[in-house]
This record gives sequence, structure tokens and C-alpha cells, in this order.
Amino acid sequence: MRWTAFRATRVLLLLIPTVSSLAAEDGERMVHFETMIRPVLVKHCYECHSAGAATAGELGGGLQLDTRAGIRRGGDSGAAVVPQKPGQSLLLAALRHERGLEMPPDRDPLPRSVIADFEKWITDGAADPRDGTPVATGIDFAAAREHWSLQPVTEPALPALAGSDWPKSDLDHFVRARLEAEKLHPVGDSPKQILLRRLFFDLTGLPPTLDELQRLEASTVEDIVDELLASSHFGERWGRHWLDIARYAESNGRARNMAWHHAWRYRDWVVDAFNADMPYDEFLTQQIAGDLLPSENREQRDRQVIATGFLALGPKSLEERKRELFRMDVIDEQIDVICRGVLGLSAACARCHDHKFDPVPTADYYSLAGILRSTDTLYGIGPMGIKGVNDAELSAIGPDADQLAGPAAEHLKAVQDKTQERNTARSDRYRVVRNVADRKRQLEKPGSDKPALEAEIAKMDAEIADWDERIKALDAELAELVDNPPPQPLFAMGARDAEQVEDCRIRIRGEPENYGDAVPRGVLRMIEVSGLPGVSTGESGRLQLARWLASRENPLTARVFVNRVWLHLFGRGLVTTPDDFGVTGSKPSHPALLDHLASQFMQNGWSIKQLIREIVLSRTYQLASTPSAAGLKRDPDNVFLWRMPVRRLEVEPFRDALLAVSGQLNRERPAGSVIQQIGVFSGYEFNSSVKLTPEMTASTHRSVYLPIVRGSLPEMLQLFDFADPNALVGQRAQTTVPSQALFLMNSSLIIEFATATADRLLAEQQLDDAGRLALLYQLALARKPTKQDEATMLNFVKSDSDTAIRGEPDKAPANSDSKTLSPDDTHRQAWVSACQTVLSSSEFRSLK
Amino acid sequence: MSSQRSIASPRLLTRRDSLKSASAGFGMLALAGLCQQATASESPLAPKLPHFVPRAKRVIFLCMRGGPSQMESFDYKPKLNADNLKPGRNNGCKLFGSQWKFSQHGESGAWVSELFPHLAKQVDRLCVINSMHTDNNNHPQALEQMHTGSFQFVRPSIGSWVLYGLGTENDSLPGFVSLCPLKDLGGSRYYASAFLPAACQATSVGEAGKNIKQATIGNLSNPRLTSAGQRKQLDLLQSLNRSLVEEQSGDTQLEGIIESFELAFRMQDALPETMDLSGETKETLAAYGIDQGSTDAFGRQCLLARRLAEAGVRFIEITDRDWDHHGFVSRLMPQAAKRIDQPIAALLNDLAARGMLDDTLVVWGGEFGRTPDDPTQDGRGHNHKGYTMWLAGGGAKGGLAWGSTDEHGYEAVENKVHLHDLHATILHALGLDHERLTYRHAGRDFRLTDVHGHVVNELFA
Repeated sequence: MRWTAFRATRVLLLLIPTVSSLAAEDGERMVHFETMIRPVLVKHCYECHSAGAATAGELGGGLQLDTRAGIRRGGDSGAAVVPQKPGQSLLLAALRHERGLEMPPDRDPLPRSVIADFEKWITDGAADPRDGTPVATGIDFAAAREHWSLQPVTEPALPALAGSDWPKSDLDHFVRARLEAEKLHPVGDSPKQILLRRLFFDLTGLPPTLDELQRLEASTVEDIVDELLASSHFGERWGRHWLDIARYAESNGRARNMAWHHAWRYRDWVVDAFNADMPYDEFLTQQIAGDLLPSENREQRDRQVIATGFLALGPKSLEERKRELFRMDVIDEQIDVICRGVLGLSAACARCHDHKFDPVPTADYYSLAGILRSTDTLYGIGPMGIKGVNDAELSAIGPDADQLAGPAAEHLKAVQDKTQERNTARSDRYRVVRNVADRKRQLEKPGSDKPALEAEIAKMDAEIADWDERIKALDAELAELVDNPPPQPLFAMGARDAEQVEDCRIRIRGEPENYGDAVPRGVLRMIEVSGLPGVSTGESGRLQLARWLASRENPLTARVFVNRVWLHLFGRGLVTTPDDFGVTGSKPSHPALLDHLASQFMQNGWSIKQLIREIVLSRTYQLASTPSAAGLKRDPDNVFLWRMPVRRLEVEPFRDALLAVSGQLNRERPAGSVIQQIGVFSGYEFNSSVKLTPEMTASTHRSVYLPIVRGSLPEMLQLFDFADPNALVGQRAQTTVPSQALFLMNSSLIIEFATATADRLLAEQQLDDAGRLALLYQLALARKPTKQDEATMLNFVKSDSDTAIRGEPDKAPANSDSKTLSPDDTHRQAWVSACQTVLSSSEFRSLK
Repeated sequence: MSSQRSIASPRLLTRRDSLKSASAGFGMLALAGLCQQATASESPLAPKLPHFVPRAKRVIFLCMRGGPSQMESFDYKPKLNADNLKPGRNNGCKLFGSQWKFSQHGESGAWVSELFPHLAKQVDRLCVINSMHTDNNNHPQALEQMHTGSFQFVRPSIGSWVLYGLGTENDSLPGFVSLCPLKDLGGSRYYASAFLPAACQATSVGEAGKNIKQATIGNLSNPRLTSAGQRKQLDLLQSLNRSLVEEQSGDTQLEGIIESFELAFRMQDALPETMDLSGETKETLAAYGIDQGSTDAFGRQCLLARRLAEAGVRFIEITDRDWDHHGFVSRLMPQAAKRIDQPIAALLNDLAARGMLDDTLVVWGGEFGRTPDDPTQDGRGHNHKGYTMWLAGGGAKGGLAWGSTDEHGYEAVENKVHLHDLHATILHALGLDHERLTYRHAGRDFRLTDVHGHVVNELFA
């Protein structure tokens, strides 16, 4: 075919009379193209770079070389041919195997003479008769759905094993089959005492108490697991895992950082939902659209409103003056947390361009944006100081909400107006001050009209005095308002449908005021779910979004969540990119196991407790952590699960264990949050004077209840890899840095924990030091000391009684002068050192 | 730009060379230590010989977070200025020339914008790469790639690779220090060791956007115990920790914890001493712009970088974070330039005066550059296809302007240097072959440059 076209053109060219030398040159160039260039393109390039390849979904690098327009537009890397500019023509670079480009791929370059032909062609202007426009290369959804994570979740058959009685549960079959395929042998089962500690921390985030150790010694693992799943501490442990995803915080972060007094309600709601084993589909639905769900009573309605706090908790640049940009940023953050948190999908790139890797066109992004744009995000008052821009309401809840909400809102409005009035007065005064300065400068200049200027200055000084009086009065009025609020209803952060619901227009390149076409509100087209009602006028579409996310037909939702659970129990996900199940994410190490867990999860009514129960009752979970040499050699990362890896405790269970062992833990839930001690109507912006005090963060409640102010985390959380609340964190970092060691060696906090623990041991007067050591090991490590432990530790306590606090007198702290220490005191100090040692040991901070 | 890569293939390092190059000071100490430690210790931080004779022994990386504009600094674009307001390549954008004058400086006659008067005087020390390009134009990913070579996977930071490759010369200070590191956008990953031994990650002081003056390194002294008492307690702790390591067959994370305690113990004395500027002369403080308004913050970081370099820290990163000028270029660019210009110039002078510039590689740049066009005419977008970074010292060829972008500055066109190439080149300066600096992990040898990277030999004198 190509030769026919070539001949036809050539014949045509020959028929054209040469009316000038210029035309003759043109003709020659066309002939050069037809004889030297086109055949090469057809033979070597069209297979991957043509309309045909584009239609087949096999277009390479977005580049089409079969039209003039296509070759000049180029592909992902830029223009393939720039007429007369061989140096800028990537096609030539690729032919020469330069600039990291190699074409045709995987073979030696074409002959030099051919490349010289191309150079000449480009230098001469790249004559090219091939009209026509390149095929639009939109996203091919059908092809994209071939990606493993977008395939429907199916229940895989249990793999056949070579007559093994190894599996304890269904999931073990998948693990064992993979181990056999990899020629790896699992290690033996974990000893019971190690398993017990593992289960306590994994399920409740706390160490077993002495009482529990004794009581559960004879219990079956199943009974222990059921008891732990029923404990109210379960929700505190697993709720915190979700709070990492929900980027939970109690301030907006960014440059102007305002306290959020009501965020804690969402935190408590999450803890309660995990304790109640709320089905995951319901859990998601309430967070996206709880306010739109039916409810039987006020309490239920309030709980569902609180759940939508999920949408409101993101970091926000309240200082942003461009309202449209601010609005689109809030929506972008919501889309990001929904898509990555629930679906493991980075959709936020599509704000500016079609997603490069995953099938998320920009239009789909703005379909979602339309839903969220038709939603009011209720995060509470904002920075009243800058003309009230970006201030928002809250949702009034509680039995008296209907009566109290109106007056409370009026009062808040009055405060805002008064603040604004006062601030305007301050600016007006400042303007006069500047004018005075200006007149005074003029006075200095030679030849100025002194009397006139001085009169003016005197007049303005009087004006300033007037302003001062006025501002003083306004300050008093404002203080009066702030100090005397009407009775307040309870409030929650959350979402509600906006009064005006509307489709969102595409923003070209993501620029907030660069408008493209409006796209109908809806969900991402890449995932199809049957029976999903359309979005009708008058509703935001959040309910449809929630139903779509929580659908059993959504292939990502269950897979992403079971992988998160697996990650928390094994320290490594079956998919190691827990927030990215897209093309750039990693593939599952055990695809069938992932699908087994996902399908079981859905069949069991999305019960999170049942999912965790199945996993922890498996042989795989109950393996010992002691490695085998062969396993370490073949699979150092334990990808194939031949053992339970040693895992580091996250900061919350670490701190909670310190509280528990030292006898200080308050197991009750605190009422609300200490953030509520920060001012409500004024003085609620964190700055150099408004901040968390050490007293506020010195709580003995569980760490999940510590105040979480963005940019100002409690020291321990900051040092030990707490999830950055500015972003969704599917997997926390695990760092090992000297600043952590310094904390464990020197901080007043660790010394307080050690002292309280030592005092607890010493209070047991019937015990000798060996008995105390046994008690310390039981409390801290859930085991008895070995003979070696006993020898080392008791020797330390004995000898350290002589030396611990001694040393060069100028370096010894004033309050611990060794001369004045009684024998009891030195003994106590030795125990403090011993306790600090155990509490900062790797074993205490790890789970075997 | 065809393949004239191997100007002189690097000589393999002999023992004699290493004795010669470690002429004095810490180098000598390090070598003395090396002979003892090589057999005595398996510490991942023990000094190691590079692959071949190095030009540089350490790196100071001046990280300009946000993406500094090349057309306002070191990439002179007369054609862009001439074409001001003509339609740009990006939709709805017009070309936006630089508002500041460029002129030639030094013997090399290299072009520098008037915003950098101090650095202009030192242009003969700068090896400017105008043809940088990288793979992603979003801050978080681009920053991650700049630090780790990858924006898709969690990989070790370049500082961790260098520390892993060369060890450290001062076993009382961390070998990799990041001053005022970025905390947002997943910042901790930029300085982390990933699968490399945990002891290779950076120790951070302060945080981006806050003056290092206010940074406190907490918990540096013990309120209860004397030094001897604390040592005794630490010995007990380490014996407990070691028994767990043995049980776990040498788990590197657990080993890293042991290392971190030992380092912490020594840091208690060494770090406060190194971070204390009170022994510096008034003249030095003034030269760096310390206590002089907007140069104070970065001036302190620069001076501390010199002190850390002197103390034998292998890789030092310091950060200035406000270079993301989507708007208000006319206001923000002069402010940003002023913050860093005098301090960096002082650092280069100071290093040179102390004879340290020859073996200290200073690297300047951000995660990408800016576009030459803009819809508002007072901002610039992200541009990862063409931007500028520069090297100084450490054997880099001063006064060189390498590579170029197109006439407007949209993308690198001549002698392009990909970020992977820069990484390979930095390692090369340190005597490390980027293809041989590998770490076996999960059955595969990993490299900073993955399967990419070419050393740009032309950048070296």
C-alpha cells in the first residue's frame, strides 16, 4: 500500500511543471521525503507510532509519526521534528541513540546513511505532504481495567498443598503454597508468651497486665483473641490507624494555624465505630454522606453528622485571599484523601492534566469536584482578622441545637463584625500615622511650606487621638461580646449539601479561574458499579459517591482496606504501596491471598473484627520471629512470610506501655480535648503566645487522646515517627536517629517514667531485688528474666548503688549530691537506672 | 555532544594515594582510625576507601526548595527578554522576560543576574549547569527524586548513600546532617536511609522556615547521672540490645539502634561544641550576614555548614525554602536572592581561605526550575525540563557554564544533564563509581542512579 501511495505522489510530482527554481527545490525535497524518509518511517516506526497503533492502544510515548502534524507536535518528550533544526529534533536524536533515546528500540542504530538522510531532510525544512490530524489519544477505559487492582474481586480456590497439615486457617493455604513455590520453609510457631504480648499490642496497643498474664496463661488463643477484640481498647488502637488515613488534627495547619475545638468528636466517633465493629461499608458511607442518611433520632443523626468530619479535617490555607483558589484547594484535598485513602488511587494529578499513569481524565476529577463543590465544608470559624475570608460555620448538634444554634450564630456574627470594625479602625489610624510621617519628611525638605504642613500635622495628630479613643472603645465592646456569649449548642465539624448545587467547570491546567467546560457531577468512570442512581438536580451527589465507594463491585475498596489491616499486623503490606494500587504502585506479593481476604471481608458483611480475627488466628500470624539462616538469605524482607518479623512499636503503644508499666495509665477516655482550653472567640490562633503548654500534653490518658496541633506535636510523637497530620499516611516512617536515643537517655519524661516504675517495684516490700526484677520483666516484657538477665541486672543494681550518682562534683546536679543520699535513696536511684534501661531497650520497643 | 565522555579514566586508588590525600587534620585521624577500625569494627559508619582517587571528601548541599528561577539567576536569556509578551508555548501564557539585568563577571565572563552581586564576584569558582532536567514537576515527587533518585519508590537519600560509601571521619558527630530540613510534603523521606543501614540517615536540626538560632537539640545532657554513671547504664542497655540482635541474626534495624545510642552518647559533648558560634570572630559573622536582617537565617546555616564540614561531617544539607514563585516574582525573587547571596559567597570564601574548598563539593539548586512564560506576567510555573544548578569546589571546573536551554528557557537542549547524571557526577567527585556503589537488598543490587546516570566528566577541572 505504501508503495502505491509513494508512486502516486511521485507521479504527481513529475507531472507538475517546474515554474521556478524554488518550486523545483520543493519538488526535490518532496522526492527526498518520498524516497528516503517515508519508507523508513513506515518500515521501522509506524508499528508503534501511527494512527493504527493509537487505535490499538499501543501508541508509544504519545507520539504519532504518520502525519505532518503528528511528527511536528511530537509526543511526551517534545517535538519529534523541528523543521530546519536538526539539533532540536528528537527523532534525529533517537535515531542516533542520543539523549537517552534509542529508536528503533532494542537494536543497533539504523545505517549512518539513513540517519544522514533524515538530517538533510530536517535541515531542508522537513517537507512532508502527509495531511491529516493525529488520532485523539483519550483514555481507553477497557484497556485500563485490565490492571490487576481494577479486575473484579473473586474468591480464589484454595491452592492444593503437598499433603500438609500446616494450615490452621484458609489464608494459610495461600501463604504455604507460595512458600513452597519459592522453596522456603516457615519457622516454627511462636511461644505462647511471645504470642500473647504480640496479640495484646496488635489488638489493643497495650501490654498485658500482671492479672491478665496470669488469668490468660491457660486460655486458648481463640479466647484471648475474642476477649481482646471485645475490649474497648481495641477501638483506641485500630481507630488510630484510621486517623492516620483521615489526617486527623485539631488545627488547620499552614501559616495561620487555628484551633479546632470540636475535631475530637470525630476522633471519638472513629474509636467507637471500631469498637462497635461498624461494617466498613457503613463506616465509609457515614463519613462521606452521614448527614444525608436517614436517622431514627437526634442522637443517631448527630453521630452521622460527626462522621462527616472526615471531609472537614484536612489542612487549609485559611490565609489564602483568592477565594476560588482556596475553594478548589479544599476540594482537591478532599478528593485526594478519598481517592488515596479509600481507593489507593492518586487522582489529584488529574486536577491539571489527564492522569499520566492511571485512567483518571481531568473531566472525571471535576465530576468529583462538582460533588464536593456542592457541599459546604463545615470546619468552623477561620481567620476573622483578614476580612473574614474563608470563615466557615460548624454543624450544631445536641438536644438543644435547634433552639441554641440561631442565637449562637448571631453572636458569632456580631463578634466577627465587631472584630472587622476594630481592625478597619486600626488600619484607618495607621493610614493617618503614615501621612504624618510623610508630612514630617516634607518638612525636612528645603523650601517646604512649614506653617501649612505643621497645621496639617496638628490636625492629623488630633485625628489619631480620636482613633485611639475609638479603637479603645471597640476593643472594650469586642471583649464584652467575647466574654458574654449566649448558651452555646454542641458543635461538630462536618459537611452538608450546599444551598446551591452545581456542576463544576474544568479548570484548565488546574488554574482556579481558567474555566473549561462544566462536567456533570459523578464518580470516576474507571470503576463501574451497577445500580448506582444518577445525581439529580438539587443534591450534591455525595450519597452516590459514598455508595460507589462502599460498593461490593468496587474492586479497590476491599482490597485497599484488607491490605491496610495486613500491613498493621505484619509490618509490610501484601501490596507495599498501601496508598497506591495504580499503575505506579507495586503489585501484590500474594494476589490470590489478597483477593481471598477481600472477598471474605465483603462476604462477612465488611466486619473488620472478623477480618482481623481470621488473620491473627492463622498459623502465618502465629509464627515465631526468630529467623532461619536460609530464610534470611533467600528472602531477607520476609516477602513470602516465612516468619513473623520483629516490628518496632509505634509511638502510641510505646508511650501507652510506658504509662502502663509505670502504673500511671488512665484507661478511661478523657472528656473532649485539651484543645478546648484554647480561646474560642479570640486567641484561638496558634502563635508565639497561644500554644500547647507542657501541662496540656502531660496527660496520662492513652496517646490517641493527645492533642494533635499541626506543626506542633507533643515531643514524643514528633521524635518517634508519628504520622504527619498534614497528609494521609498509610505507612509510617520508621527512623533510627540519635535524637531518639538522646530522648531515651536524658529526657525528663523518660526519667519520670523510670522513677514511677522503680517506686512501683520498691513499694512491693515483700519482694527482694530478684523478685522486683521478675516483676519488672513481667510488666514490661511479659516474660520472666532469664538466668543471664538476672545476673546482669541484679549485678547492675547492686554495683550501681555505689556509683550511679557519683562523679566529678561540678558535673553532678545539685539535687542529687551523692553525699546526702541515704542508702535507701541510692538503692532507689539504682532501680531508676535499671528501669530506664529496660524501658528504653529494643525489646521493650519491639514486638517479636 | 557525541561520546567524548572519558576524558581521563579515573585512576584506581592506591594505598599511597590515600596516604597522600589524607594529608592533615581529620583526614589523617580518619586514616589512623581506619587502620584500626577496618578489622575491629563492622560499623556501617567506619571510614571506607573510595573506589578511586577522590576530588572531594565531603558535600555541602544548598537546597533551594520550591524551584528557583534560572532566568532570574544564572541562565541569561536575551531572546526571552526580546520576546517579552509574545505568545508562550504553554496555553494562555505569554513570554515573560527577566526584570533584572545580567552582566558578565570574572575572568570567565560568565553571566549572572544583578540579584546575586556577591556570587557574581565568585563566578570563577562556580561550575554552572544550565541544562539540568528531571522527571516530575510536582514539588513532593521532584524533591524526593532530587534527594533519592526516585519519586515512585522509597529509596535512600543521596546523603545516606555517600555515608554508606565512605563512612564518617568523626565518630562523635552524625555523618549526615540536615539543617532546617523540610518537614512538610513527606520531608523525612528526603533524608532517610530506606534499606541502607539505619545509621546512615540524616540527623536533623531545626526545621525549614524557622531560624536555626531557635533550634534546640533537646535532651543533650542527663539531669541525674554523671558521665561515668551514664556510661555504665548505657553499657547495660547495649548488652540487652545486643542479645536481641544476636537472637535476630543481626537485624540491621536493631543494630542501627545500638549505633544510634553510641552516637548519641558522644554527641552530647561534640554537637553543642560544633553548633556554638560564639567562638567565631565578629568579622566572620558579618561576612556571612549574621545578625543583619534577612541574611541572618541562611547565614547561620552556611556558617554551621562550614563548622560541620571542618568537624568531619560527610554530607551536610542546608535549606532555604521559599523559591516557589507562582506570583509576585518582582517582589519575591529579590528577597529570596538577598537571603542567600551573601551567605553563600561568604561560605565559598571561608572554605577557600581554610584550604577546604578544594575537597568540599558545594552543590546549589532546587527540585526544578521555572517556566519562561506565565499567564499573569508576574509569576512562573514549574519547569523540570530545563533548569540550573551549580557546583563549586571539590574539583569542579570554576567559571564553566555547561549546557544550555533553548533560546527562551523551556527545556535543556544542549549537553543535557539529567538529575541521575548529576547524582553520578557528585558520587564521582567523591571517588565513588555510581555503578559500583551498590547495596544488595531483596535479591537485587540497588544504586542511587538505578539503571541511569552518566558522569559528566567535563565538569571537572
